[in-house]
Amino acid sequence: MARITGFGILTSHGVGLRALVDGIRAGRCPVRPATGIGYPQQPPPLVSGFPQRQLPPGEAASAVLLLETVDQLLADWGGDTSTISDKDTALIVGSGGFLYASGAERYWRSQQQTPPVAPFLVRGPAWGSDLIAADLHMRGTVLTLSTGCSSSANAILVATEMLQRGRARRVLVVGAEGLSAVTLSGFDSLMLLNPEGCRPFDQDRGGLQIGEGIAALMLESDVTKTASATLRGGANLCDIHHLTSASPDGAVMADVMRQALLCAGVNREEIVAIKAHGTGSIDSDRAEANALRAVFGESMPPVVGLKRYVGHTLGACGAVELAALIGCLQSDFVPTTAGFATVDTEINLSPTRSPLPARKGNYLLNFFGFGGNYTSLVMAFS
Amino acid sequence: MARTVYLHAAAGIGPNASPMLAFQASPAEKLSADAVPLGLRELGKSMGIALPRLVSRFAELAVIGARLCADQLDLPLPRNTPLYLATGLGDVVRTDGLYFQVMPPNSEMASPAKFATSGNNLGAFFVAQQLGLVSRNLTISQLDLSLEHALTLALDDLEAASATSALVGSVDESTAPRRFYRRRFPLSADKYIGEGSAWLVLGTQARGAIGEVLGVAIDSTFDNEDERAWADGVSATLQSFVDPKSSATLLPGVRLSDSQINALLARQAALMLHDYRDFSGCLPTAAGLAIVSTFTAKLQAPATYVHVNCDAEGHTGMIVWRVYA
Repeated sequence: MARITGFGILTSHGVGLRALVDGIRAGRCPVRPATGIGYPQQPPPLVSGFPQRQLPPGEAASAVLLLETVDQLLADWGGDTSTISDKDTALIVGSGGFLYASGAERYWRSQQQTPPVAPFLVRGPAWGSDLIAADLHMRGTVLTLSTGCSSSANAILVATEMLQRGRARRVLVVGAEGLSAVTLSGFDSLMLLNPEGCRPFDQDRGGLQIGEGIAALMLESDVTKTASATLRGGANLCDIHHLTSASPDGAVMADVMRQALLCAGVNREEIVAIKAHGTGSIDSDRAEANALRAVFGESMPPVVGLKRYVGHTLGACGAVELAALIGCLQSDFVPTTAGFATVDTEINLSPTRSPLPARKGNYLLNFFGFGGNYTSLVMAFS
Repeated sequence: MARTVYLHAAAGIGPNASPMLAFQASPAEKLSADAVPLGLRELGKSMGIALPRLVSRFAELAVIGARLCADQLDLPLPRNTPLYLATGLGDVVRTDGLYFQVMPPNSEMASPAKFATSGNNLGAFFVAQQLGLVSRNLTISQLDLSLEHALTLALDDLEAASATSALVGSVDESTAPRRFYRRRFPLSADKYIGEGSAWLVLGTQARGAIGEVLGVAIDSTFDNEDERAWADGVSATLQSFVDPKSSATLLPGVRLSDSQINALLARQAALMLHDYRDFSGCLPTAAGLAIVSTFTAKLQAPATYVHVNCDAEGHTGMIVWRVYA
């Protein structure tokens, strides 16, 4: 068991889980133009970006946001911070690595100069984990998982297994992704963005709404700690059908959900609600709907999608959306799926249209990414 | 490790298009300049590997190394074999190319095909696709100790019996020129940039094994400022994997200094030095090439090897393995 004993989060709703949950309850879906990163075309797309504030230039801005979110977690956690530097405290960061890139992009844009060297060549994907580990003087395992949009979901999965296997007593998990002109223009070039915003599973869905987010979670094996959410297990599989699109029947998505349930020791009938990946893209939502039907048949629990509220935060979405769901459950509701209005008769899946009362029990969370990297987690809420 | 983990295959590709740097290579095979990026497309074709036209070099490198390794097996890997790809820098050349495309003075939109085929996890995707693996698929990155972390995760999964075999690879591209490389790594004038893709098949079955993993450890408590104290710490950890009085070969990682190597050799007299770095060049995951190279040696008796490396943050990584005769 991996008990979730603390949260730190920064999203388009601002700092903290309270701001995010209040925003979701009120149905707010803040978006703004993707300014400041030097988007190559005008006008830039609308994104779920962090509220803009004065920050130091370049890499330092990303560092400030990352470390502030970790500080927020430690304050919320309320444990003995001296134990963070114990050997049995681990750090796992899940990120595609664009937090640093976005800082570098902002800096060189502001200088109106050509960058002398690209960020990844200097830093590599482990920039964030090294930064946090050094700041907290961590001596335990420190590692980075970079598996595209499932990065931080996999970080949570690996952290859960480390705790279950006694490889650590506590694991600090961080998902982090910043806006980057590379990723945003890449998705735009692939015509995968919906300028109207994300509409998960809707008949008129037309693509992604990109967001940026940082979420830090403390996972612990200590059963004496009070926690309303416990990770029971999960699974990760690779769908080798295609680089960027899921097999339409959702067969591997269904398999990863079944394996997650098996690893967690939970029957499908025990799932009280599902947090879908629900990007609002035509193919991915169709495949996920088919997969959900294959697993749950006619006994489909309520399905909720969160990406209209916070955008698709890419590698951070595992940590961001897990925190968001738990925050809402702690506030006694399962959210409405913002952006959904009309059932697509082809996929025939109707996610939540109004808030539902939070129920104790097991929740299934899906996170799917490019490169067929699919992860499902099972979380118990009490 | 409570459960013995065997090595069933080990192969890869090192710098200068060598199919594999031989453990007992001649001095003439030492690098005398930074590794020129390998001509992977033709090599892949000669191996019958068909990849999308715009696939990144990083992914090509991953697939070629993995295929060389998988081809050593009598049977295809089971479809549920988990895959762990370690990389210090990820798909850096492709990603940086996109970065310069969108930044001034180019200020272009990212090319859709290049964007779709970039990403740190796509090397692992293409390996899975080539080998038909619908399984756990993790790309792990922690600069100079990425392989040590990947092996640790794989061993944990084997130990937990969630898998009976595992495919573990290490992949890093040449990132010349040196002036960029030196921004993250203190590359001395007599050391050269390398690149490579090295892969291992691990399993819990003894049948058909070519070696075994004796242990993997990552420690952050050693005093890196004091070589003798550091060597004491390393030696104490190694003793849990191998008898200090029995002979073993030390393969020093790319971050180890001469004084650290000498301190370790002085502390553990049964260690013999083989400096593979002159053949592999410097890359964050050179440890993979070191391991694979030991399986090219013609042995009369089983031999034990130790790879030790550090990172810039004060961690020390140790891998210990045995090669069967």
